[in-house]
Amino acid sequence: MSILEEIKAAVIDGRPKRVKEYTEKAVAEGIDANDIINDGLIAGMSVVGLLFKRDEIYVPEVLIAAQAMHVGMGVVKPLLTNSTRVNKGTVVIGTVKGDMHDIGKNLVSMMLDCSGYRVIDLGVNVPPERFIQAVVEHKPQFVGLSALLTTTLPEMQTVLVQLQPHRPGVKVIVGGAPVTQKFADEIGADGYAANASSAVEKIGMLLAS
Amino acid sequence: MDEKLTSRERILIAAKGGQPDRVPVAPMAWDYAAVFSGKSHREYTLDPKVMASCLLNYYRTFEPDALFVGSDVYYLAEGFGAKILIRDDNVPVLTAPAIDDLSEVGKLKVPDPYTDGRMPVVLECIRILKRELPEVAIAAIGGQATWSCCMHMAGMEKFIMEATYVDKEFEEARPELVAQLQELATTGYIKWQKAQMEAGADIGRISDSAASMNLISPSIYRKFVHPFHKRIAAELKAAYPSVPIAKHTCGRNEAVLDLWAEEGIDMADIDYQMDLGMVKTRIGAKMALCGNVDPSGVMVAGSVAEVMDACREAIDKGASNGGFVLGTGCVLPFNAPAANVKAMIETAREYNPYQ
Repeated sequence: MSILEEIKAAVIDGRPKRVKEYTEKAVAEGIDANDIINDGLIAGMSVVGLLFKRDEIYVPEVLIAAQAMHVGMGVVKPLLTNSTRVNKGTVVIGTVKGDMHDIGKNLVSMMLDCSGYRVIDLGVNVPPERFIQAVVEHKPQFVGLSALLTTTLPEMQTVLVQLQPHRPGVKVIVGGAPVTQKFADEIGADGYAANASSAVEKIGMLLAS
Repeated sequence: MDEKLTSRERILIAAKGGQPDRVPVAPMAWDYAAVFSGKSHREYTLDPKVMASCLLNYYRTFEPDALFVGSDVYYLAEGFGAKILIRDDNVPVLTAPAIDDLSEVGKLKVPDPYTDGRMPVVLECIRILKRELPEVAIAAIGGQATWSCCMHMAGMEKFIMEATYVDKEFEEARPELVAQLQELATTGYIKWQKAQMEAGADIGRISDSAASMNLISPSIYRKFVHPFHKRIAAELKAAYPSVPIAKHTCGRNEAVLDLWAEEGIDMADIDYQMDLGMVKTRIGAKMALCGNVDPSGVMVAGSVAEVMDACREAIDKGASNGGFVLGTGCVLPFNAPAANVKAMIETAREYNPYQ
């Protein structure tokens, strides 16, 4: 196995120590940082995303793979310059006000990040004003809203209403356990994603349309 | 309708697998009672008299067969030192775990439910309700059994990863620390449930919301959840043999239903994400079921007619041969229209497969 294949396999297995060791080795061998990221770390994470989508693995496997990938990214990111980073688009993401849940939102952030998007993650309990501020400041193509509680669902609509004057060209995607396509349509969101893999797909489709 | 059984009798018969005079009905209403009664979430969760008066008001309006005390899932973790934010306009939420890293597990002490956090509020509320409404079943609150409590104590993502490393026997694993945390959570949970039973709760609970296949894997369930639920059920049964134990785990759990059936629980609260008919076929002979009307899609967003349809469908799927309580497939959101709650209760009274 080549060193990049080793990195990829260690990400898929969720082994942070191995990923760090192989990534450092690849850097020492003079392999380009972008190749390490794309053909090693992201290639591994893409397989994980696919397996997750097919229900072949569960959230814990995705989390440990993400952790392993982050460790590898920590080694190579300092070697990148802005001009060498891929950027498919910018996504502002956050869990709406009143809701502190972030495991699902973090998975979406991480999968978007490793699919080449610039992700502005506003964290949890994000009031509408902060979404607006981030849209004005970062000029994203997408805003992702997450909620786990049935009681914080109405907050998604509040954000959509308040964002309206600021969002020409900005598409809003919603997701989270109680969210459904029907709900997304009712509140006027541009898209709904049931899980992290489909969020990346949805955004890719909306970007192409 | 002139009913022969009290609500409490009806629920207890169903929870133990029997067939009462009609299907008992018990939406999982916590803070719903507060908002319905015009009280803030803060008053409800901090003052036992307010909590009890809200639940009494909710009972007198809708006459469900059981009341669920408490307001959220953090009672035990809060007792261990996790930080909870209490708000006026929404339910309490966890803002920080009790420890930043598993290496600090030695600092944690099993809380005393009679003095620590908001647990005494719940205990006093149970005592008041038992005095005021002896004919209604009082369900203990979980808040929460081993797996979820560990997540709340040690950080959600962090604990999932720690357990996964142990599960996969990685070099990063710290099995002793994980085991130590689980032991604390389990001991604390048993004390907490026993205190509620001592106060008069008619139904014990093993609530472990996050021990769900939406969040963990069957392998983790088998090693890190199943043995602890089994132990909790056994210890509670030994101390309070006549009190049935209900279990609730959120989300889709088809992959572990066979393990549920071996845990010694009397009843499972089935989440709305699972098909009740399928669950009835797979484990209905081994335990009673409660569920599983969709709390947001139907109870909040649905019309009265949709609520009635969903309730009849749940009864059709779950009630045959008894052992069934009509319920919401997770917590009833506090913004559900009263007309929908009323429709649910009335459907159980009128649509009676046992007549």
